[in-house]
Amino acid sequence: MYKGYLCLTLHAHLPYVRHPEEEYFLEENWLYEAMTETYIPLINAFENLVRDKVDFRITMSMTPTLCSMLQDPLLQSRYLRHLNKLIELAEKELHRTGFQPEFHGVALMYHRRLTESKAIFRKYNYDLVQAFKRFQNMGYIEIITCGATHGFLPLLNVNPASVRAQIFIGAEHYTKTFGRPPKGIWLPECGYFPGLDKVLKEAGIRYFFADSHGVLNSDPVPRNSVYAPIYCPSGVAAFGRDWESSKQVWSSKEGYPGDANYREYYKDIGFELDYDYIKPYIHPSGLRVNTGFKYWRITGNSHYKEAYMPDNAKNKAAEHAGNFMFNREKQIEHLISRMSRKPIIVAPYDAELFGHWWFEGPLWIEFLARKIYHDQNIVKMITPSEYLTEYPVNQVCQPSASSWGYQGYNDFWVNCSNDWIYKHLEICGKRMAEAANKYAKYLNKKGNSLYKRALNQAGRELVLSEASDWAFIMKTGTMVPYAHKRTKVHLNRFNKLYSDITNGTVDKEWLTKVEYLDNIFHSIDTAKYYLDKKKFNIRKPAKAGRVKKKKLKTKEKVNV
Amino acid sequence: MSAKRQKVIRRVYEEGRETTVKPVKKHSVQKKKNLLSPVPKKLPPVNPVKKVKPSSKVKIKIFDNRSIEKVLSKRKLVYKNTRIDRLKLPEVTGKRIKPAEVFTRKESAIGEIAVPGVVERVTPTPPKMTLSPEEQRNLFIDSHELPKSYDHTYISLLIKDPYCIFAHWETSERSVSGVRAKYGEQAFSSARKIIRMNDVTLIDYNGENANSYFDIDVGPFSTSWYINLWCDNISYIGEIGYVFQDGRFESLAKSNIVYLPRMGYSPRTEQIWMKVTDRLFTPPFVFLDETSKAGSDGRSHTEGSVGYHQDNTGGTGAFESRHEETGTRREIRHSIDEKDIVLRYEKSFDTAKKDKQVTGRRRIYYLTDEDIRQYYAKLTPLLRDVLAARLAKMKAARPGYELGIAGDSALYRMWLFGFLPAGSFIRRMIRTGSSEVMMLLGGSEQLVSSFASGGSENISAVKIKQRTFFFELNTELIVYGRTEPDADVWMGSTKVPLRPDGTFSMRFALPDGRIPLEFTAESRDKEEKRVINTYVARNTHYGNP
Repeated sequence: MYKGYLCLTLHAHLPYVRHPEEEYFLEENWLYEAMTETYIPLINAFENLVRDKVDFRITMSMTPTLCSMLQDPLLQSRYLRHLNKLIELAEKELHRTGFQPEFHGVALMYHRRLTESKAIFRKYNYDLVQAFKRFQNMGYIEIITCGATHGFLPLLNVNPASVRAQIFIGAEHYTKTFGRPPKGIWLPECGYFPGLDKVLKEAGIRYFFADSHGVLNSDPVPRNSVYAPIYCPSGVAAFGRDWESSKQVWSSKEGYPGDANYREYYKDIGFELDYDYIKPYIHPSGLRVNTGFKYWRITGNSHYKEAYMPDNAKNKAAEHAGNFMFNREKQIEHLISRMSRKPIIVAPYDAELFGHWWFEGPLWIEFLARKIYHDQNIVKMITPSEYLTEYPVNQVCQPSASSWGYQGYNDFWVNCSNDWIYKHLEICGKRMAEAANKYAKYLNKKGNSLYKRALNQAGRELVLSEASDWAFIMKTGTMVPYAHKRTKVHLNRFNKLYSDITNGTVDKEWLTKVEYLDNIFHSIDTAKYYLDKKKFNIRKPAKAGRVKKKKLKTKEKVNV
Repeated sequence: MSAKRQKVIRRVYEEGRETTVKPVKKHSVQKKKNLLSPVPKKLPPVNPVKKVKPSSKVKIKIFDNRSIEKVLSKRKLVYKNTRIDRLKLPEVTGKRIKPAEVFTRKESAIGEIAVPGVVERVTPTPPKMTLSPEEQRNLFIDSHELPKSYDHTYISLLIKDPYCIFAHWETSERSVSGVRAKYGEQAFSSARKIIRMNDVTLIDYNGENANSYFDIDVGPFSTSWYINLWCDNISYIGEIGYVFQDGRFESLAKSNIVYLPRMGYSPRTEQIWMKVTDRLFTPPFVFLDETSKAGSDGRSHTEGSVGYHQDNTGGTGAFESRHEETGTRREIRHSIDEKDIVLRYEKSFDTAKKDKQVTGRRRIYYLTDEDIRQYYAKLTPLLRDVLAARLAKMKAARPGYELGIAGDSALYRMWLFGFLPAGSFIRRMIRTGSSEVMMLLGGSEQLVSSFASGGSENISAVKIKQRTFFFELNTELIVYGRTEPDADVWMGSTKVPLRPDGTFSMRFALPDGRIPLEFTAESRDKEEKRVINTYVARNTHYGNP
């Protein structure tokens, strides 16, 4: 009856920005904006679908950095403070737009959304990860993991230990957060290189996502192109992105988010209103930031903008959802004439697109799920593991090295703006592996010796500096000084820890303070993943040796 | 800062040796305090003769990361190295110092807003870290630049795209002077520093057997290079070194091997297929399993695997998932066929092999409380109610048990069911769900006797009291048809014998369930074929009319 499948994947990622040493940190706004505009509306959409008994499947990748931030009490309290301020601003806006009918409706909408967001935030005990976990346990969404701090693996492969650490730490963090081992992984920026699948297999991961050309250019040529997964020689499955469905949403010219009825992102009251009015709601230093209150719609490519009309936008989102579904139907009907099995259309997007950049995005997802469930029976939504259950036999091909960045390879992360970091990352990676192997005996003991803590903290600093977000920011040029600072700070702290460990002069006080500041993965022993494979479980061979000796003794006695 | 101190700082940081560094002078500490924290009410005593220039007036800046950067960039950081005796072994403490204990706890102002009426207090309030500006600088160490050189000779290649490689290297003074010493000053002065890119596609490179190579003149000062190539899908190893006028090449370091990605379709079109099956005991599959031996350890997996289990700890996990039959609209199954459970139960007796247990047509279930309730509701009311009553009495006799669920709900009954001894006949019968058997055995009487004897493990010990009133019902199925006498008729894959006049009839038992009947008739000369498919379904319900 169903002729094909749609695998909608949302990749939710934010770099680890947590600065307890300052009250109002500018870059933490990224998290608050994402929570208010993307994650909470998505949870709302899922709740509505569950309440209305609509069956849907969405794959979500939640990176360890994002999960750590969402579960951190400090950031949760700061977010609540932020949300309260926004609600207060919403009330003021209601007064201000009282005599402007075209804006008052929008102001009412924002007020309602913010109060509902706060209710949802409270409902899940201030922890949004529990919300997504709940939907996963119900079976509606499948959450997959990512590299520990979203480090770009093809460029880290100079040190295989770094790659192993990124993946294993990500998998362990996922297991601790969601209570089960991860089935799939979203490789950071879809960056794949041949040989990475062996590491994934060791970590117990069943599948990953690759960009279209990674699968299309694989060796030998896949029979079903991107519409069926391929197995890497080690047995890990690779799902290729479908270009057609991506273009409909991502394209700046023809994509849905550019429609004239949708909300304009760039006209925010934080930049437009009186300084005195808006001062409590922007950065305390006076720097104007986005507040999230935008009253205009796109209208066209020019500077002329008209007032935003929520109902029109909602209807348009429904229309676009129907259009997307119609296109997938036609695509599947075309594909089944050439394939002997049901095709799977993999449509991965950044989660921040839905809600943050495209305000009506979560609405669109909700409409899409409803329409697919009720209005037709050609497409069905599915998660990758369900597809692999249905089709356990797949073609064996070696995907080619690729990424989903600009130009399709590693161009974006190694160019004149950010190539200087790789020398340091490589040497620090080698140093970490060397230190871990040299002091492996501290890592295997139970308890928290000073050296174990220092090694683990060194692992954390290294992993934080390897984040591909800093290189990305340096290339796009948005907040470059911050990216420079983060890279330098973490590498400097790592170097100090390394020199302290090798010289035997670890400063306990300093270490405690750094552990407080960089407390990502605080419950995970990060250093042990840098050990050589042979030394990974160093305890077991020692015990086996002891037992053997005992046996020999008894034999000798018997002989004598 | 003096040149001497600069030297000291550099030595400390770059070479990693511990050195006692002079502590920061007092007046400079005071200055920093004035800048980065609010001006204290009582200023420390200053020499009144000194004239304060307006340019050096203390400015109170708002505390944010930009202002910190400006301030810190003007000062250089000093590591405060506390001397620890190297001979002392590092202490192994079992306790982990909680960061919160180190810092003073302050009442956090988070959540309090000036606007009246909206006051939100968030519990727990995280501790506010109080760091002195000096400590902050120590921790940030971001105005410190990354080391310019690690004093290590290496070359490393990174892929940028299929036609470009990024190379970065460093040649330490020692290596360069080693080359100079080996070849002599004269030869060295006319030598060129190059990168030799060796094409090592599909070979094991041992230093000499490269497919080809080319050289890039990089000069003595640069440390990175973008190498543009003309061919994709090949691999390279780079070497940094000096090439002399007579053609000799002295390699200082060899790089890692890089494999350029392919920029187009592969020429190979053969198809290799592989089957990879999931480890079925891990999520998202629910595994409805029975213990292989009846009454072995008393813990039935069925009871463990239904209900809401949020955290799966591996093994036979228990949480909800959905399964749909391929090709049908997704329906939520609200009932579990007793036959399936009997099937699985029997199978678990036969083999201990796990894979056999899941070759049944349904191995994934969606189970909710409703499913369980409906399953138990299928039992005869007589048995269920009596059982509940008996168990309640049994429970009352043991006052230690807490009753969490009250009332006459099915959940309550299910909970009570857990008190039955594991190997009891009743438990097995209920689980296998053969209500037919219960009817035959005469439910209530049998129960009374079993409970009176304290629960019996042995079936034969229980007296089966026959009742005088009985009612049985059974069905058989006759299928008949006709075709040409010389034709072939198949039912499924078995051939059906025809009578001389071309008719046939078959008679078989008709149990509960759905029996598909697919008949195919083919003419003698194989030219024509007819197919007729039908099915018969029987669904028995025992109970009160």
